[in-house]
Amino acid sequence: MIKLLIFIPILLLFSCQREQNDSCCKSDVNETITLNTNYASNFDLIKTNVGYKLNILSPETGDVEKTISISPSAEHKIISLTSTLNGMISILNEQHQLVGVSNIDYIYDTLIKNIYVKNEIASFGDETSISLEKIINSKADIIFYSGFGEKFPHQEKLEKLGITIIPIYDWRENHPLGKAEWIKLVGAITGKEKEAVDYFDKITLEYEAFSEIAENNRSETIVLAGSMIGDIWYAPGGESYFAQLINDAGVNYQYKDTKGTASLQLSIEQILKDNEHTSFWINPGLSSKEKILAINPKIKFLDAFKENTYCYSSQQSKFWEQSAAMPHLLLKDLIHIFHPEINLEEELYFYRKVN
Amino acid sequence: MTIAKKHSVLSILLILGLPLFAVIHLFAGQIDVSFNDVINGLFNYNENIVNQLIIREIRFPRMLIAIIAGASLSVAGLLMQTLFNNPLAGPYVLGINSGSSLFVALSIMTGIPFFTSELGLISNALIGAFIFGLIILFFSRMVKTQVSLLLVGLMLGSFISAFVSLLQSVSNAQELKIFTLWALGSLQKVSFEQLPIIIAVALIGILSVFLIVKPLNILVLGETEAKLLGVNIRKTRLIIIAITAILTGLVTAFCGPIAFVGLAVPNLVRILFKTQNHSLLVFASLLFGGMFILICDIIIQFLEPYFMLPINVLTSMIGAPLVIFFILKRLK
Repeated sequence: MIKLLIFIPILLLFSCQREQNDSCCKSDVNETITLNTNYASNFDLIKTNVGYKLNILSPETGDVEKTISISPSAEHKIISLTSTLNGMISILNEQHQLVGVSNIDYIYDTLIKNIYVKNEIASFGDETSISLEKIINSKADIIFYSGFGEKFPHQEKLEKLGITIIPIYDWRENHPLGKAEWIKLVGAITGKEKEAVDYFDKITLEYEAFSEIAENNRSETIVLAGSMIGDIWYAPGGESYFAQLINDAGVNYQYKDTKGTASLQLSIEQILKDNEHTSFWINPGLSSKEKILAINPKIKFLDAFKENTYCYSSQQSKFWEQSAAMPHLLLKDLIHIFHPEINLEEELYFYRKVN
Repeated sequence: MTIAKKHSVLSILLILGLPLFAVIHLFAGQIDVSFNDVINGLFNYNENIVNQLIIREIRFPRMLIAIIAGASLSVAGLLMQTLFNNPLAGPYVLGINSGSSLFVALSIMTGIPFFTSELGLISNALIGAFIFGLIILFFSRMVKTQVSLLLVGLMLGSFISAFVSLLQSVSNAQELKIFTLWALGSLQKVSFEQLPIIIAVALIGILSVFLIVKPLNILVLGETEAKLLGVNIRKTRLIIIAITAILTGLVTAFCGPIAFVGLAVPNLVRILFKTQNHSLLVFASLLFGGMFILICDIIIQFLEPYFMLPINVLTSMIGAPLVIFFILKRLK
């Protein structure tokens, strides 16, 4: 009761003092420089005299969905409910700004895990059932969440309390480097803009170099991706980032001619018929043939399953956390798998063969 | 038209309808197959020819399990409705199906070695159905009336559902997804190699029903009258529950839960045939049930290019309006 009596006036205070504005620091903004986003198409970042103006763009229409004024700082308290942005925060060594993640069991970064052990990071669970009080208690001022076109739960209340909520659409980008470019947003917020830009430029060069090697060795090999969940095979759409990745690896994605970035839904009959001559199957969702067959025994009729199935499943957390920000290593792995004739010398980083 | 003639016409329609829809089912689907593909796929199989592989490994098991699931659930529903003298009874009310769900949920969502062992989902569903069948059998010896047993079954089902919900609330996204998909039902999990055992178990269950037709016919008169006419109520009840556990457990194990068929089909058969003769009701429920799921699955295959519809969803969507229609027609 006492807590409630304290909490209500605080709420009223915030609701009176703050306008409904998505900002973590309010001030007059003079637009100065628009930072180039060469590959990402779902956000714009404009440098102002006091920080940044971030425009989150709708993946469907390209229109500005949300405008947020942000101040770069090494002192933010961030709840990041997306694995990919956790990976980017780790690359920029700003893990200390995290106060919350979705589920600590899915975290790969050792430092984040160590901070969790010290009770300085909390697990918030799935965003649909997230606790409002737990968020307030964490004193977070920024929340990253995977936008699905829906508002974040309790969004209005949280914004009245001064918490900036940022939908992340990296997963809707249709180029691997587009996904990676979201590190610039993370850099701008965490005060590591220069490091983020430098990192992105570096991996872009590496990605393009690997892509060129693959292009010079392009083959007619056909690749299938995705996995069966229930009776439905979910395969990346022909305009998705993963289809682009397979193309950049110098081979042909089976469903490269389909439209859209959303996953295709196919029946097992269609998969078997379409993939008679497919050589590789990647991302089966499970790490052993035994597990795959237990879930769907009919997969055994897929020729590629017998010899050439590669997964990241044994290291799912690593893949989801790092692959978005390390597309050059992802591409390198795929070239390694699809072009054994190219001697890349190093071990696979994300993938391994399914046995 | 006399009743006997009407029964003959309806029976002939069902006898012809089932194989007709079975053949249509074999040719349904996104991949076009020829008559030769079907014949070769079944009798001269070459797994290197994709169309033959699709027929033998996908469509034929799917067609057969559709018939078996429909027939088994319908007969199980008929038995429950006769036992409880209640048209709202079905194989689900005794908690047998919930038992399967519980064991599948445990196998997916807990790290307990027994449940996550090599047994897999199918075995766990079967074990769950039989354990809860045994529990119901135990209660059936303790309670005196069918209504009490029906209530025990309903309460058991509710209790298990609450426990399954608890497991779901603490499971991770992947586990939740697997369980949710299992709960939607599927006719596509059965392989050609599994068919003999499925057919054998289904036949044992179904043929056993014909052995208790006489007590079933008398049970319709009510428990007291049946006792007066010399029916061993307790023994009959045990046999009915055992058969229901076998048939429901079999279907749930291989297809996941398929709701509504066990409730809708026997009611529709009763309305169409207007008889209490269980020889005829069992026979018609078998054929009608098989045909019902076949038709549902043909619709699913027709819609596959646009969206994937789970079998459990479609059986309810078709079954519920059908029952309402027939009930209203009968009331007129």
